[in-house]
Amino acid sequence: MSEDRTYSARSGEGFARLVKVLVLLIPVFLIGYLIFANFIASQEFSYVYDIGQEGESYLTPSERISEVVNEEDVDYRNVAGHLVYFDVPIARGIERVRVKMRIKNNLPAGGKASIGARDQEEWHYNSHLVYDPSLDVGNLDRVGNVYRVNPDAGVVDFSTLRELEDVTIATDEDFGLVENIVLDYRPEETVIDTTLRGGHVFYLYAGGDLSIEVKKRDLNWYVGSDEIIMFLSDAQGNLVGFMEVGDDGDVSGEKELGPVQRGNLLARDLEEGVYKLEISDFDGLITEIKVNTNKIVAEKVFLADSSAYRVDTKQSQLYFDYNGDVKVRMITHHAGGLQKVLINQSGAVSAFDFNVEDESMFLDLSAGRSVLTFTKNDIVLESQEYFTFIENGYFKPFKQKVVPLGSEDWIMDGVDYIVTDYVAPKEDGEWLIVEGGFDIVDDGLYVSEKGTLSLMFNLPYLSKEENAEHVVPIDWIEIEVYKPGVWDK
Amino acid sequence: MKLFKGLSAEIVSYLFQTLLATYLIFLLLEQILGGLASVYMNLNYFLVIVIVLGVLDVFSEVKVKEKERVKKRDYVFVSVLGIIGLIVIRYKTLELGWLSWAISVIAGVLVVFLGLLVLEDKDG
Repeated sequence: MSEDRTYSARSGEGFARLVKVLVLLIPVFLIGYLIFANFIASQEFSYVYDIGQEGESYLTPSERISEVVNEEDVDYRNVAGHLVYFDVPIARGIERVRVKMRIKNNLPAGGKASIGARDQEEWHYNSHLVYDPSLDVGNLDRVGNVYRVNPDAGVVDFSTLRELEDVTIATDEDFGLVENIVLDYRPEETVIDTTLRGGHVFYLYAGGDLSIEVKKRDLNWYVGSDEIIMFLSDAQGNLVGFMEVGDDGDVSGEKELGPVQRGNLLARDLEEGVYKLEISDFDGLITEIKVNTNKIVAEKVFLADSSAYRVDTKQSQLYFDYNGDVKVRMITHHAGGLQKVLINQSGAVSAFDFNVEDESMFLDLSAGRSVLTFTKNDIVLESQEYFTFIENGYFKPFKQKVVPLGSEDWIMDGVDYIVTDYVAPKEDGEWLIVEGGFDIVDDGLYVSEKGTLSLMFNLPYLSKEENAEHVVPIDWIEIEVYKPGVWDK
Repeated sequence: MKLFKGLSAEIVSYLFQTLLATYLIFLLLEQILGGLASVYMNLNYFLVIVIVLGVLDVFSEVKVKEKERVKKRDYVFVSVLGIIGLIVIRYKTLELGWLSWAISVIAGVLVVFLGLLVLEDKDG
């Protein structure tokens, strides 16, 4: 009897030990699974956010999202603001994110949509077009995501494209501008005494200590202060200096031309290269810019040496020197700005009759050096290419000219290549399925400490006042994320 | 009322302790490396299982254990826990600068003191 009891106790202990081992295997298995899933296996996850379900709407801010709407067996919510956001969990090692959205095909003509992924800790998003009916890349020859638009250009891949010169590229990707080295750069004083209206952007080639002196006069046409802020950044967009010139003390709108005010920006020990100078918009005139480099160009200027702005009317000149044909857009908003524009191309002088007010007129310049002379000014001039104010001041800042995909037609007409991952939306009855993709590392996306990526849906046309009543229904959002395994890398 | 007695009580208690420790480790890893566990398993479901087992354990027979003598390795274990606590809190409060050091050291010392209190508990 006692032997039986001993045997029973022993077998009970053995069973307990076996169960304990099995129990211990649970955390071992779970930890093993996490190691396998996080570091070894390739995984593809799919998250579906049913926007039309009651309760969680997934999209923020809530004031831009409607309550659930039911229509013909489809539950959805309306987006009533041009920017809405949603988060997606990003596991360790995930490399690619693909976003699909089912939206109602009710966007107006010219309406575009894009999806952005946050790429900085601050508010900054890397956006990809997902809806643009004007963008038809289906019939273009391509290598990867590089589409050849100009039939005279070769079909090239991305790395070859970055080495090509004198080509214009339209893209919604972060292309990364390739700087040129300018051999005839000299650190000598250059004065631009052409009067300009409002904010402007210039590209300079400089090294060492760069000094920029700006003179401004407030027009005081509109109520409010008229300070300017000058930002100087390198070709990668890093800020290297800034400076502010305050208001002239007159915040009225009585059209009293203010006194000359000066501002100096000095950036020391710069590496030789391309720098971007941005002067913020203001209700006034830039009457003089003095820089200690002989290379300074712009893409768009508002020539204002005109009595319309209470300064003497005097002629001004702009210099072009591009290897290909160039289109120049001009527009004026005053009859006094209508004029004959003189064109000097390698000694051959002609005149362009700029005779329409409030409408863009286009001037085509053939390859080579051209000098445009404006006798009356009061004209906004913009080109796909760079131009300068002084003889020999021209330089090409970058190997390629890069413009945003979806730019105005006259700019897109001059494009040689398109770089995009754009996928034409698929029609699904009255709905569209739009999609866009991101690469976590290559696009430098910002994944929060909690392991989430913020995504943004952008409908730019909804920001315009005339479209304030318009809404875009969203049915669902599907997010696919891909994590390569150890052996897939 | 005891739902489980003897061997089954021992198994429930062991299962609860093991899963609780596993859950706490996953929670700690999740705090340090966000998404490490939560992307692949729902920690809330895990917590529900742990709570249910905890409730069952409460209603299980408890074997009266003799108080064991505190060994040197117990003090080492408590010290290691204090150091781990210090490192985790320092990592999570990095952006606070010198304040981060103060908080981490105080937290580490508290962990060690609490550990010693448990070890030295005369009634335990």
